Amino acid sequence: MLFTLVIHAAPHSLLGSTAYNAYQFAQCLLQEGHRIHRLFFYGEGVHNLNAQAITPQGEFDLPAAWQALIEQYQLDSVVCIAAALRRGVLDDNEQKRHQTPQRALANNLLTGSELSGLGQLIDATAHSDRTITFA
Amino acid sequence: METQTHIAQYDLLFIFSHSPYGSSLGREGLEAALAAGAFDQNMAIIFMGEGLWQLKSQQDTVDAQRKNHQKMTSALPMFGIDALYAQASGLDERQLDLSDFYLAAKPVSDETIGELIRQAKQVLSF
Repeated sequence: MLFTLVIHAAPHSLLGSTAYNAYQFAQCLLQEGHRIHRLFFYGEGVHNLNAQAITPQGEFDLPAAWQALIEQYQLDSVVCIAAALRRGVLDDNEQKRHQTPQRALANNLLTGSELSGLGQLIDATAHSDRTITFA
Repeated sequence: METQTHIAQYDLLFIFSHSPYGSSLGREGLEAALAAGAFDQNMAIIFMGEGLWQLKSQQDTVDAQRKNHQKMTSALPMFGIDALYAQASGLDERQLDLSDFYLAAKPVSDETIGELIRQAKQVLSF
């Protein structure tokens, strides 16, 4: 079956560990032979792909785990551009676009994912058998 | 009262169950719905629980220092999004009435909401 996962939850959230559940669900789907049409990171979920988040030793490094999964299975991983910019997750283009002499910005979107618009979410729902939201 | 015998089937069903300004879900859900409208999807929105406040007229966000997104919500019909449902039990609980809303929504029972969800091809929940 073809799935799309919509991830609203951030790692290290005070509200629960839903982001970890999303990762484990994705991992499980792929191990069971299902396919993932797209991962769509929205809202607080954009923090899952922040390369500047440093996980303490001995803790599970969720951003690194997402990146490895995306690379291993060549997943289509899209981060909502509006949600990402609001929360300080920028790719190379956006970093250059918004940087000013007064404001140094980092290019901190983990490689393997891309910033794009909400059209990618709508497109994903139209082309998947199931859409699962992790909020 | 509800006289619906046939439950519409939508490709994409949005559920708004959070208040408009209490979290980012209010605005981000609206943005996603408008994007779906722009892509001409066969879609509907169910406003339930705290999400019913999205439809309340005269939203004033000056003191809350937040950007008002009532204008964005009122753009829904312009994006071809006419199928708006309001949870009847949620209206009662909040002493809200359809006349408090600035968009026309159809009141539906919890049972009908369940059926709409069952019939929908995809559900996005905010």
